[in-house]
Amino acid sequence: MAIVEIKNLKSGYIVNKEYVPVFNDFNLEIEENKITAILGPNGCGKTTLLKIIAGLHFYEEGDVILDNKSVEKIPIQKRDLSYIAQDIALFPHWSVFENIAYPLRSHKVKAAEIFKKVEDIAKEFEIEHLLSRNPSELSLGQQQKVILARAIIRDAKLYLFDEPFSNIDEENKQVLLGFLKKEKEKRNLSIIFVTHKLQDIFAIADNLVVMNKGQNLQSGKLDEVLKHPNSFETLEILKEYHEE
Amino acid sequence: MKNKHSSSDFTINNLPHSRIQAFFDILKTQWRKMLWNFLFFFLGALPFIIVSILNLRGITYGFQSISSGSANENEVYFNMFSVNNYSNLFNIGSFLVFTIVISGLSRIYTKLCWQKGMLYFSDFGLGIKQNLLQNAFFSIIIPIMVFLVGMFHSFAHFNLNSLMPLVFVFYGIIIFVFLPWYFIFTSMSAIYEEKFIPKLRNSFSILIRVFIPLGGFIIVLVLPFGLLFIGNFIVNIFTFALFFLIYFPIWYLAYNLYINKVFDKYINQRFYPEIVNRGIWRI
Repeated sequence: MAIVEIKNLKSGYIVNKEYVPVFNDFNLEIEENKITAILGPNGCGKTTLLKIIAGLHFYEEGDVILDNKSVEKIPIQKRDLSYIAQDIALFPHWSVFENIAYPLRSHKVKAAEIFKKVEDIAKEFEIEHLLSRNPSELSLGQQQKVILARAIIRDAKLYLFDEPFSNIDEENKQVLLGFLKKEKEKRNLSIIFVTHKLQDIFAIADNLVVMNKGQNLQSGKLDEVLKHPNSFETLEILKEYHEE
Repeated sequence: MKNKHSSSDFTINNLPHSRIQAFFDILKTQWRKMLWNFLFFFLGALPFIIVSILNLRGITYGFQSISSGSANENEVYFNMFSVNNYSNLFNIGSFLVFTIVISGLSRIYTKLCWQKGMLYFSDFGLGIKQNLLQNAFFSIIIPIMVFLVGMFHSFAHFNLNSLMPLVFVFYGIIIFVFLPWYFIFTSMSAIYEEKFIPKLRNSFSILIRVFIPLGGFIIVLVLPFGLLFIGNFIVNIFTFALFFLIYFPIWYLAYNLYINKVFDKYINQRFYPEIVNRGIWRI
């Protein structure tokens, strides 16, 4: 079953008073309870796609259906999803505990439930000893763990990750990808994961979407796409990122 | 937006290994929460501060009238004791207000000492909701005792001077027995779910076991009030204000770290081993 369906999408940007198209008749289905990686060169529309689903960017035509409902009928703040970009940061004046608790507090969850959920997720992420600390005392990798914990704690229907680990070292990234995969299996999460690293995809993805110039070149199970690219263009993209 | 970050992982080696380290660590890293503690303690003590300052003003004015010879000594003492007794009566309400605040803050301080995450205002509210009813016992008993001793003091002054030493004994019992008992009881309320009578009994038992070191804490607590003997109204205001705004909240942190150690020794090791040394990471 699809958690996200995109049909005949048309969208673009206004740049210097001129309309620059990004998507023109773009179609995609994202399977529920799977990690779907989106791979493609810079400027192909990966981030724009996530922003459209999250309601952070407009589209002129087409349908975006989230969990069987058109997003036009769901106000942005009521979309049951979590969007994590690479430049997301922690609130510096709040403790790790308060940062992780923030999504629950903004959804008016009761305090007793917040305490339990934060402590449980801190145990899962092995950051219990950091709960009372300030973000500035943590390393970059630890901060990203906290960001991930903050994202996951909400139990949203859909998670949108836009290259969230691009600015940390490889060792910490692999640890975080491991946590993400473990959480996905434990909580049956639906995740769309934008990346330009094939190694990240190998680590966690179930499905793969290859994009270029606003087009969905190929999408399907990871193995299927890697073993049977449907066009020369898809193959070139896979080769390019494999060599990186 | 990018966060400042450390160049290396924050590990258990970076956490406090002793209660003294924890004290300075909390003051350094949790200063925002301590600022709220300063404010809440000050606001909670404000009725007490106002009543006490007005009472002291009356006493100071009385002594000045006696030494200047402008008024009849007995009449002045009578007025001073009357004002003092009315103040003690008002302080029944003041102490209750303070107990409301300390019920909330004892939960905050326990979490600070345990290095646990908290939602400050939710925890403060929960502390009041869960603990105020039991803590209210002391908020009535102590000011009533102060009022009764005050009445006894005026009786002894006017009728039987030989009883005056007893006044100091009674005040001593309030300061060195009931006050620390109150603090132990409120700290236990924040940690243990116990019925009132067992908690009263257990807190008294703890008091007996650590009477001398806790007495030391109480002496340190009341030391700043020595400044009140200067007799200057402005000094009195600053003494009371700074005492509750800064001195008492910091003292209370040190006291909580100490009392957690005491609870570990006499209660937790036997009944709650999972919370022994909580907030301290011994290597």
